[in-house]
Amino acid sequence: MTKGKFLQPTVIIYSLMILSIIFLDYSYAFAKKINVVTTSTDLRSITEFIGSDRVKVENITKGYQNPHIVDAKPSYILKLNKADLFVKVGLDLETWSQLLEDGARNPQIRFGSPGYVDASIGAELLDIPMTKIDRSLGDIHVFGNPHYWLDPLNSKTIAQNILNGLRRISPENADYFKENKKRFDNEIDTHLVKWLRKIKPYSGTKVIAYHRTWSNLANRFRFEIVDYVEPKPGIPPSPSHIANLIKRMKMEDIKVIIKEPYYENKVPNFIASKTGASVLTLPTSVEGIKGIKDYFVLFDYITDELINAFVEQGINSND
Amino acid sequence: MRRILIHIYCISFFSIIPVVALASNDTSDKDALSRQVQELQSMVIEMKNDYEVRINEMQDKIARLEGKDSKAVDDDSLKKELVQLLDEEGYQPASPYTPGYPSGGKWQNLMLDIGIIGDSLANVTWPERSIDEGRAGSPFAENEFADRISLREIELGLQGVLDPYARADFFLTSEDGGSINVEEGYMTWLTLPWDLQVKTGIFRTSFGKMNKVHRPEINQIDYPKPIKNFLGSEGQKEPGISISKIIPNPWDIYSELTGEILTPSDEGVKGKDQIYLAHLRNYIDITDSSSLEFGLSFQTRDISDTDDATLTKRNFRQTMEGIDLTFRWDPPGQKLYKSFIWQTEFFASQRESGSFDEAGFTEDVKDINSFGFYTFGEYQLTQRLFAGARFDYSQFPTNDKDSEWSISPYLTFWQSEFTRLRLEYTHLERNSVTMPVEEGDNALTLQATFTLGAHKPHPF
Repeated sequence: MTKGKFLQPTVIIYSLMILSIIFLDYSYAFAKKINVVTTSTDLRSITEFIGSDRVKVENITKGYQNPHIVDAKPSYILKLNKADLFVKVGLDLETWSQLLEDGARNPQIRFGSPGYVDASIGAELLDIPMTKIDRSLGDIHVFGNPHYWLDPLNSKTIAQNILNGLRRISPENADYFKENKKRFDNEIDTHLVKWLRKIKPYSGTKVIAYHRTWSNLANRFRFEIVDYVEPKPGIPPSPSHIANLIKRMKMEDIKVIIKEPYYENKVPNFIASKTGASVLTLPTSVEGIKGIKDYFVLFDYITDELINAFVEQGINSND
Repeated sequence: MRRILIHIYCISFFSIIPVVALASNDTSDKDALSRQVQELQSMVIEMKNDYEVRINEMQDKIARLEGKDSKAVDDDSLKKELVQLLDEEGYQPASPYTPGYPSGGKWQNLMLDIGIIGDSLANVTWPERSIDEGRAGSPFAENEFADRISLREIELGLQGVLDPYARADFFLTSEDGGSINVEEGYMTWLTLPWDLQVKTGIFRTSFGKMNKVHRPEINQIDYPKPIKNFLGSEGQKEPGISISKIIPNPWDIYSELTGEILTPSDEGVKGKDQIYLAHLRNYIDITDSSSLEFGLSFQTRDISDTDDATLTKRNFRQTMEGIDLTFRWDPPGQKLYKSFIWQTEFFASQRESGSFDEAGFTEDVKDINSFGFYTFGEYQLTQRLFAGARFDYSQFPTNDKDSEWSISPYLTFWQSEFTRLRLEYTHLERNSVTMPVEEGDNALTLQATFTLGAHKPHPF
């Protein structure tokens, strides 16, 4: 090719580049991020994985906060007012969220609307009441134990529900979100094998729990919660209940008490002082303890802490 | 040489054009340029991710062709090990959740939420006074529940969603086992355009902060004296229409403006005169643990008065202003055990008054300016025990010469979220120019309050 003929294609290529910058529609890359509000930090972590850089996610409750009793602050109403997608744990865990949904003036995120996601649909539930239900049972959850996110396998269902929500409101990004969900499922499988392998030697270990938060965790990781510091959900322990608990722990050689960060330490420490048990404060959610930055780190921490407590108490492994 | 110069010229020209085009826009396009750079960066990252996925797929294909499906083999062995680990003994099968599962909550969710609040009092006062004793012409309200045990109030709440756009809330009350009254009954449109919400029916007005709260749910046993004297013995509730809007602002503060038109239900002043009310509510999170709410209220109305002799009617105007402040401290990680609230409201009233001469003309028209306030603080001592105290001071809208003040320390015990006991002592002093009162009143009241059925969270 002669130098003269080289000039014409050069001019054409440059012109096309300029024209493409000016006229081609890169709207999907230029589009504003999807505003997502989640009730919990765990839902935020999973949503961030699925949505990646196409979503901006805010959570309402803190990871170390009791999710049952959250003030319906007006500042949360402002967040929901601007949200494209609202993701809840569901199962009546967040009875306070109805006030926020009603005050948000956002039809997009109301129950039944495309921007409303109940993360619990299809999740495997435990502790579903089968008897007559009334308040004599304490602060009972009529649909089942709402702390289902503490079973890592349920996170795939949660992620699917979030994916469905994102696909509804942003169909142009559906393939992108689907790929991320596939990666999330693979990550969960990989990590779950690691966690199950780690804790398998201690399967069947008996523990006491403060509140009925840990059923799904215990079921998945095969340790057994035999009793609770609370005699019934939401009811503080009486002296007689504490005495019975101490007696049982001594008789059955139960050496570990697990509790949530938002419950008091006085009673568990007292029981521990009488029984020689360890009190283990475990995070129930991402950011429940400093350093728990995502859903995978949450279970890394929980399984490590459980094993350390079992080892410290001389609980024999089954290996 | 000429051709080289042409090449250089073309390269420079086509490189400079976009720069010139962008720079020729006004200064605000610098932000647009920065945004475009970021968007281009996002595009590059996305292209990178896309290429990585494609490269992985190609590698899988190559591995399969070569008979070494390494990643797939890894995936398969991972899944097999996972299934083996999950199937081992000790796992309790769980039930997958689908909505509509038959449970105790099904009927409630389908139809409406029903709740009953019972509020009973046991009250002793001293010096001795029976409920039959009255003080004719006295501006001071008597305590009709003095020196007895009573079921002061039963409140039946019926609340539910009407359709995707609106909800309805009804509260029926019976005092002391008497006739049933409508405490509130209104419908709310929740998602109107421009962030509006509209409510219509009978409702507690948006004047101030505490007036909107039902009596069994306030932090003390009874409403403060300024609310009783300025708004009504049980606060102010009227039939009307209420429109509210969230006001956007550059500070991202929750700011809600409410306007209400109400038909006064005062006995003897039924007519065409309406109450016009406005309330501005502002809320700020100071930290994760503390917040401040600041509200301004205003209402104005005409009050008709008729001369009995000549039947001449005249309107007297009354306006009221209010300021409310609420500070809350609630550390999120310890909300079960620690909290503090401090709340104060100020009330001011300007009311025309006059009398009629023999001919029916108004005379002695003057303004009565009155003022009142209350302030209370409540601290959570333990998970179930709260201690607080309230101070009230109030003049009267129809009489600015008399006043009363009271102080009420109290203890509240929450047996559970649904049952509450409260013990409150009140010392009340009354200052009257027209009817001097020699000594103050004292009251010791025990309150027991319960909730049966649905118990909705309280508005913040």
